[in-house]
Amino acid sequence: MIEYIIAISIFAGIYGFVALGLNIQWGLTGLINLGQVAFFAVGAYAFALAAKAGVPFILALAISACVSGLFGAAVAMFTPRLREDYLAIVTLGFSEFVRLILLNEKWLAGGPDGVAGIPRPNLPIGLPSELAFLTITAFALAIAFALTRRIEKLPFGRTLRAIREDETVVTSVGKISLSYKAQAFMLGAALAGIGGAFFASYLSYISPDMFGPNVSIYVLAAVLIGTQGSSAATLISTALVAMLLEGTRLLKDYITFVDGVELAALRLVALGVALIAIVIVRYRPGRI
Amino acid sequence: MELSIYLVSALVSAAIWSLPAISISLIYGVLRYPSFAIPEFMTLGAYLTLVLCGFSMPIWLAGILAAVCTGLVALAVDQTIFRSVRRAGMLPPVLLSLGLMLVIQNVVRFIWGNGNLQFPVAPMRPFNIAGIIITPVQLGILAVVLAVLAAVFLALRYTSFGRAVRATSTNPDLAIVTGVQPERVYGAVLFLAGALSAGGGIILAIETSLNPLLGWRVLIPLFAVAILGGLGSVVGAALAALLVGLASELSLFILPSSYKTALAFLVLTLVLLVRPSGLIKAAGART
Amino acid sequence: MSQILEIKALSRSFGGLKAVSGCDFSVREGSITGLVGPNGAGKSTLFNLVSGFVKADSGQVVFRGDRIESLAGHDVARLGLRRTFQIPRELKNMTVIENLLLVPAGQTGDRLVSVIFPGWKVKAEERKLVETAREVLATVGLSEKAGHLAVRLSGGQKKLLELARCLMAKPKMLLLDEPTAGVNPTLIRHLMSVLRKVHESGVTLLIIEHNMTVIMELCERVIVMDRGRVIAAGTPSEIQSNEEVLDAYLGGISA
Repeated sequence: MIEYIIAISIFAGIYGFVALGLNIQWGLTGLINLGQVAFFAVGAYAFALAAKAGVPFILALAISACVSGLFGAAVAMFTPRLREDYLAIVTLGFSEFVRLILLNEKWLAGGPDGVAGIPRPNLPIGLPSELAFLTITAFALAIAFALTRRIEKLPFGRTLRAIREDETVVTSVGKISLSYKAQAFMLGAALAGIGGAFFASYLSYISPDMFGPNVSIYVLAAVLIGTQGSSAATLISTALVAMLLEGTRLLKDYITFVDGVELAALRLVALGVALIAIVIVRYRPGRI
Repeated sequence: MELSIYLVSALVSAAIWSLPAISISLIYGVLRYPSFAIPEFMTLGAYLTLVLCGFSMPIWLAGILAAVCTGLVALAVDQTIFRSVRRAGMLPPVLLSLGLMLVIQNVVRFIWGNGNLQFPVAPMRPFNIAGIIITPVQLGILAVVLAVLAAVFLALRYTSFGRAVRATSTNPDLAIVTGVQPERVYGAVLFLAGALSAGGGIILAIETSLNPLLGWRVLIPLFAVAILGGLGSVVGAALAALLVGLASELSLFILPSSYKTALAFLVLTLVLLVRPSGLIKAAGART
Repeated sequence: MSQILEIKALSRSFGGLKAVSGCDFSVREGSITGLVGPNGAGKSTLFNLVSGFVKADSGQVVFRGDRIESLAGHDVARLGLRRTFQIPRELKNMTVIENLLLVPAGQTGDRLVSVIFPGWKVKAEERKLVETAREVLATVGLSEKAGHLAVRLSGGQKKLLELARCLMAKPKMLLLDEPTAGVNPTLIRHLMSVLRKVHESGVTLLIIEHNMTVIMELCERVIVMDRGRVIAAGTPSEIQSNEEVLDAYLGGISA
């Protein structure tokens, strides 16, 4: 039981990075990103390849953040004016594009077989491995949280919020809104990349089928539940979503009348229904 | 000789993609949001057809019934779930369509499992028409899709329903003033989109095989086609399907087949970058 | 006297409709100039062209001797040519003072890298900016609203906020798009006195306005547009007795 709680906490922490990233893009700046899993996957693979090549943990983490951030910047540059409808299509398309590349390009990262034997960080503290990993994840998440909080409070964050409110105003006061939008998008992608790095390190094995659209929907739901724009609320709602969805993995031992595939399918149906319900509640007439 | 095989294959791809791509285009034109549930209507339609075939129904009848059922599902979902966020901008329906995508895909997986299923279509000897080799099934697909495209085109152009759709997509407020009931138009468009997508899905499943990811796998080509055709334009989407079909088949001469989808994504981003209003729509083709 | 803004043969059409066609006029530095004309005369489009929000099909815009017609909106703003919007575009879910703090260029904390540096410099800058913002709010008479969300302001107060946002940048010239539309008479008097203060501080004003009292009292020169071009220019009293102007307005009413 305690192992389950630790595992769920680690997953919640990992998705916390991804959700914090989406919160900067969407919650703070108003840029929708339906394909956050793409940057999560890029980060995971970058970390896996770097760590397996013997790069130390911290450095591999930095590499995956940078690579994901670069991909984020590229997507931002290839989406004209980062308009809402184009962003929705391009980000979702990009996430599937990344998954297909990972699946088909065997030379890059093993194709469908994925990458195995990804190392975990060595810790001097004498904790059991799982608990130690949770400690590191929580520590890193705390740093990421402090940084995103700082961004929200800085004039930079103010400009991002202004873009969410009305981009034309930001232009009219002489600021290049496109540059701010690209930076916000890059930052959000980098955070997702760090989440991906922890994901790869925790599971020690990754393959393309782990990076389906459900991860993106996961964090969309989390940011949507939390007050958009607030890092704290985002983290709390991510933990909630993780408990609900990862928690159902616990049921596997008690429910015997459905098999693994069926249970996985049901969990995703629940996620879909949850997203629909949240959207209806959040956007029902009479609410802003 | 070899080229003709690619051409037939490109034509068939275009035929398959054109139906769901038109659905995306129609919904975008009238309701102003990109619907990510369209690929799942394809999957749903194909599975329903297979179920109906199980009742020893001929495949064409099963297909028609399944398309109607899928259309009704799309209509019902629109009038219940999507209707509640009608005036809240573009994002809510997009997110809803994403949630719906997940629900349909996994309900299908829950019921029928992850495995590949085959349609009971007996293999037939291919025709050789003037050196072009084409199977009877492919010929049938092309004929059916052409007929459906013509019917949709004529319906949009010449019926009162078509006028209402076009009026709503140009200027919804003006359309209401002229007596169009928007909710009826939305419902009809969703029914049509669901049925057309199901048609595309059934054909795709006959040509390949059926699994829960049937529709999701063509998401990128579909959106590439819809955007290239200029979102909202039916003729544009049909022509764009032909272009993307040709491009991705001809790319096989120089690129491995795994790059097909990558190419479609490239088309998609390039069109958005160069001419966001769509190449074909911009060239003057209209609904 | 030098001209701060010169419009030369400026044209822009939207799908066959000539919104602005061959428009010519100039604005003297340090003046208050009125821009009037019937609805659809192309005044707002002209503002969009001058401020870089819409690109001209042809013609020139010269601001302080430099051609600016091909510049982007943010670049035009940086040159000191600022605009307000006809329908106020307040940043709804931000406070009034935040609406102003957004404006100043070159803030240290307005760059992403500042995240990793200690905050003392940002804080010191911010304190100064808050001071400036409070002065500007005092000028326009919104001091008490500083901490309120902008969405809570009345229509007239939103107009004042638009103006304050421009003043925050210490502009050289302001384009004001119907500053008194939808504002109650008491507030209009207040707005006019604010505009006079702004003008006395050395800012050139170009004002689109339908309220003729405002035009008559404030402007030293009035430019009249109709169907995308200038049909008359002169002192307010000259304009009032101009036949063509009356025709344009009466034609506009009867149409």
